[in-house]
Amino acid sequence: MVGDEQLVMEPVADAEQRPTELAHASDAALMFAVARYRHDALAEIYRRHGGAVAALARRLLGTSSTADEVVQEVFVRLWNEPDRFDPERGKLRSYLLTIAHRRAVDVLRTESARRKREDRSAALQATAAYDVDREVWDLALAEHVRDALAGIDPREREAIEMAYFGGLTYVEVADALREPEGTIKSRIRNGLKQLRGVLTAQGISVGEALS
Amino acid sequence: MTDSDRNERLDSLLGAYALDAVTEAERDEIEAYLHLEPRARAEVVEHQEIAALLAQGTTDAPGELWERIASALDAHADRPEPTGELSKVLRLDPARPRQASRRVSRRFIAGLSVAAAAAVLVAGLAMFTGGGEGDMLASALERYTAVRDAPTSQVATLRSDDGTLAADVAVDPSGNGYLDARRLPDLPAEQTYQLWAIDGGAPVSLGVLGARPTIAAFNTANDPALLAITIEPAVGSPQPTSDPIAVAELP
Repeated sequence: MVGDEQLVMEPVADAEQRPTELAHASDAALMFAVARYRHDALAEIYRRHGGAVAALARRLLGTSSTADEVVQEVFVRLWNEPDRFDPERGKLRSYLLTIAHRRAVDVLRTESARRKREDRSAALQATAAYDVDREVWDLALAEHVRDALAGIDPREREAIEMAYFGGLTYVEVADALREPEGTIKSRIRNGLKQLRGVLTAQGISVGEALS
Repeated sequence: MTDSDRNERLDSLLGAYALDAVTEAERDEIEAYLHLEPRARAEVVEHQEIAALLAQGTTDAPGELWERIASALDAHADRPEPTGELSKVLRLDPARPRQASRRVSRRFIAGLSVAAAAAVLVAGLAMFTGGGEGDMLASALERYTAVRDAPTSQVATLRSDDGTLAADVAVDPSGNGYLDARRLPDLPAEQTYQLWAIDGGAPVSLGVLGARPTIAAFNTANDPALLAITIEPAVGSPQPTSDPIAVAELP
């Protein structure tokens, strides 16, 4: 209720709580707010996608400190260069994971990181709050993705996994598997197309799944 | 090697490129190719989406890492206006210095019986500018007029208490709204108009309008009881820092 002679616009009552508008805003709307220097919008983006970015970085790099540096770089870059995200060219999560993967691979391919590759440990568990509905959705989606992976040629799956999660170039994958480079290029490309086809057949819209 | 051979070779690398499984030299070559080939670009986006799904996990965002990220952010207030795709939805034109009119008193809105409406959802606000984006402005005007003239829409005028400032607003039943703010005077470059929805609790920002506002599109999840415009620093404010210069109760 608005009181007489009182300023209508009151401050947010509890700074610890996520503003409702942010919790329900689209990723694109959050990016607009980030472009306007709203820390809370970036925090909401981190809450939504930071887990996936951290999990990918840790899967590739293993050691927590290096992986965390990559995650930090990804979000600081998003803050400093919001224009680099083009909402017409894909979903925010895909964008974040793409730059995280590239950065992690760059780190992985340095000599020092190569020496440490053997020391990689299993992905670490993170701790921040995680929406139950989001978790349920991710679990369901992960099951669909696992099913889709099982539904493609195992040689294609192997090439994709070695390249994406191993951080190997297709040449390195070819060397490791003792296959021609052209064969590995084809397996990766065809495998990705097959995966999309299987997911679509399962009724999964890839774009919506990343929202 | 012919162009056709070269394109075929680069096409064969698109999957590996999307997984960062190419050499640096190949990466540079492919990226140059992507600038010229929208079809190849679209294929890479599709591959990257699939890769993102492979990375999908149920891991929480590490809370302690956020603290490090937050401390590394440069909160400088002189960030340039967004460019690229974001500029299509945020203002990009330089402001002309001109002093704004005085602000209305709060009496106009004091005592209004504001229903405890559900929280307003901000889905973003788009500004449509004139000049080189005349087509966008014309299109926005057309959409605004269509919503304004629809019998099911809510239509109101935000006014100052002396009536010297006015901006028309129309909101359709889905919460899609348009604000025609062309009659508001220009502000100095370091200031912006900002639109707010008020439902009895904290005001919710519907977005910044720029120093030379035109037509703005916004979205609200539920009917706000009141809309208000304030003058804020150029980057906008999470909460109002000044009294409203114009307000309207939605019918």
